[in-house]
This record gives sequence, structure tokens and C-alpha cells, in this order.
Amino acid sequence: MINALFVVWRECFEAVLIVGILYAYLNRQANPRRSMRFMWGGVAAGIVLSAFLAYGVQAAQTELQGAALEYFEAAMLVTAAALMTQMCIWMKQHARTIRAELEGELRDALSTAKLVGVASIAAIAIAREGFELVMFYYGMGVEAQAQGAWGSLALWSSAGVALTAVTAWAYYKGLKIFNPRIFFRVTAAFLLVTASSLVLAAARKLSQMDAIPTWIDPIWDSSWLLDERTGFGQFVSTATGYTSTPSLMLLVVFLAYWAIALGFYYGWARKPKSAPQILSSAR
Amino acid sequence: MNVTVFAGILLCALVNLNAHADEAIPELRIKDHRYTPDYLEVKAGQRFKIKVFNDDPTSEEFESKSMIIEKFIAPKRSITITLGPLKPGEYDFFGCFHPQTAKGKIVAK
Repeated sequence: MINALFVVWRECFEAVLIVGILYAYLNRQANPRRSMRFMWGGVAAGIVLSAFLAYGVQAAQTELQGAALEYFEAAMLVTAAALMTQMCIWMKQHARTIRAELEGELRDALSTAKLVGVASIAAIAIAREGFELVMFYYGMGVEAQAQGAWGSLALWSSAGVALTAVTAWAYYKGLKIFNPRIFFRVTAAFLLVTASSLVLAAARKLSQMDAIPTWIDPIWDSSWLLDERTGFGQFVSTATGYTSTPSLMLLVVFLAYWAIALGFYYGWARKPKSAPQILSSAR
Repeated sequence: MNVTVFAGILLCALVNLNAHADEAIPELRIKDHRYTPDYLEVKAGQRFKIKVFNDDPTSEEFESKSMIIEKFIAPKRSITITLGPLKPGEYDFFGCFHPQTAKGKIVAK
């Protein structure tokens, strides 16, 4: 049952990265206690959503119903990407206003609308990975029952949770060493790259379901430069959505995402609020 | 808004360009956390479909690092996935929840 250790750690890792950034970010705002309530609310909602998704997959009697959940998941990925991009844009605006302030404490608390955005990001990050965990545990529960291996399952799961906690702590400490301005830049860069990888994951998911075309596949092969099957390439691939043999569709989605995100980030376009809408049509 | 709708219609239209000729879809079955067959030959340079059945009472995830796919299969359910095109070579896949036993290979020729 040592599987439990790796599965728990792996599935939690990405959620921890995202929730860790939200936590560190909110902690630097005015009235962090209120903000944190929203964030933890989002985390709780994410757990409920995972259970719901897992139940849906379990209950889906046909492949068609299963496919509907896949579309839902793709929509969730795109929504999360849009919200993260939007969040980077406020961060950028905030970074400008706090330049003169000492510890990066802001005078104004974040508006409720923004906090709902933060809560949604947390919820989706948790739901996405949590859903797999719920399904995994469902299977492991069946096996543990058959083998009487509850103790071993509990032991390795706790080890996985402990490892996740250590990772989260180290990551949070790592983020704290940056001064506020650099902090905003680093986290914004991280969120934009993550958002871009989510959009790519959605596009890949849809093309594996044959729901969108690939046009030309692959358009090039850069595995001689960086191969996503080997250690470092695999890491880069997980973090950024990199693939050495992208389809034209993936390339178009990638470029469209970055054109839109950077466009808003650097303020070439006004009204960051319309970003999600444009993003969803770019899919 | 109209632009979104239009883009949607355009996308749907393009999807049809991608339609495949009707071919038998190879089937894999998972039983006792093992794939049967655990070896599959496909044509290199072409998109192809496979159907994976999970006959176990536990869930499984069809996963491959080399083909970049992670696909959930609930107990006693099946999924159909579109993969490739692949360069000639070997591509391994496994069951994410039982990686020690659920292992297999797709060979593109």
C-alpha cells in the first residue's frame, strides 16, 4: 500500500503550490483573517466538489455521461486559468500601489468579489486533484478490506499527508524570503505559467476526446532539446505543459493564451474583467 | 458574444475535417490490475483510438508519460481515447493506481 504515499503526495503537490501562493498572497494583504476565511472556504468547497465529481464518474452508466464530466473538467481548467490570470493582473496593480509601503501591508482589504475569485481558484485546484484522490481511496478501500490492510493504508496515507505538509511549509517559507515587489513578480509569473499549463491540459484533454481537431500533429519535434519523458523534461512538462511534439492546435492555444494574458498584464488592453470571456472562446 | 458563438461554430466545423474512417477500435481490458493484451501495435504517424475496459471492482487510471495521458476509469466502466500520431517506437503505459502490475506497451510501426 506504499502506492498511497506517492499518490497522496503527487496529487496534493499541485494543489499545495497554488493554495500556498494564495495563502502567502493573502497574508500580505490588509485584514488577512477575513481573506483566509474565503480561501479555506474555497478549499472546503473543493473537497465537496471532488466528492461530487468522483460520485459522478462512478454513477455514470455510459461513456457519454463520462464524457460530459470530462467536458466539465475541461471547463473547470479553463475557468481556473482565467481566474489565475485575472489574479496576476490585480497583483500587478497592487505591486504598483505598495511600492512606497514598508512591509507590503495594504491599506484596503480585498473586495468580496476578488475574494470569491481567490476562493474559486482554491476550490478548483483542490477539486481537480482531490477527485483523483477520492477515486483512488475508493479503490484502495475495497482492496484494504479484502486484504485486511487498513493499517498499512492508514500508515502510508499519513506519510503522504506529512510529506505534503513538509513540502507546503518549505514552499511557503521559500516564498517569504522575497521582498514584496519581487514576491508579486515571482508569484505572478508562477501563476501565469500554471494557468497556461491548465489551458494546455484542457486543450489536450479535448483533443484526446476527439472534441477538437489537432490540425497538424505534431508540428515539430524538439525531443532532441528537451524530452518530456526523461527526468528534467518530465518536471518541466508537469510545471508548464511542455511537450516536445505539440500539435498546431496546442501551439495556437498556447500563443493565444500568452497574447491575451500578457496583453492584459501589461495593460495593452483595458478592463481586465473581460479576460475570462476572451479566454474561454480562445479554447 | 456573437464572436464566441461564431468561433464555436467554426470549431465544430473544423472538427469534422478530423473525422476518421471507421476502423475497428482495439480494446484493452483491465482485470486483477493487469492489462490484457498488454501489447498493442499501431500505425506510426496516425491518430488512433483505443477502448479500455476496467473489469475490476476498483478504479484505475490509464496513464502514459510518453503519450502524455491520464485517464480515469471507474470500476466496471470503459473509456475511449484518441492518441497519437506517434513516431515509430515503443510507448509504455500503466495503471496509475497499480503501477507494479498494470503495465503495457504500445508499439508504433
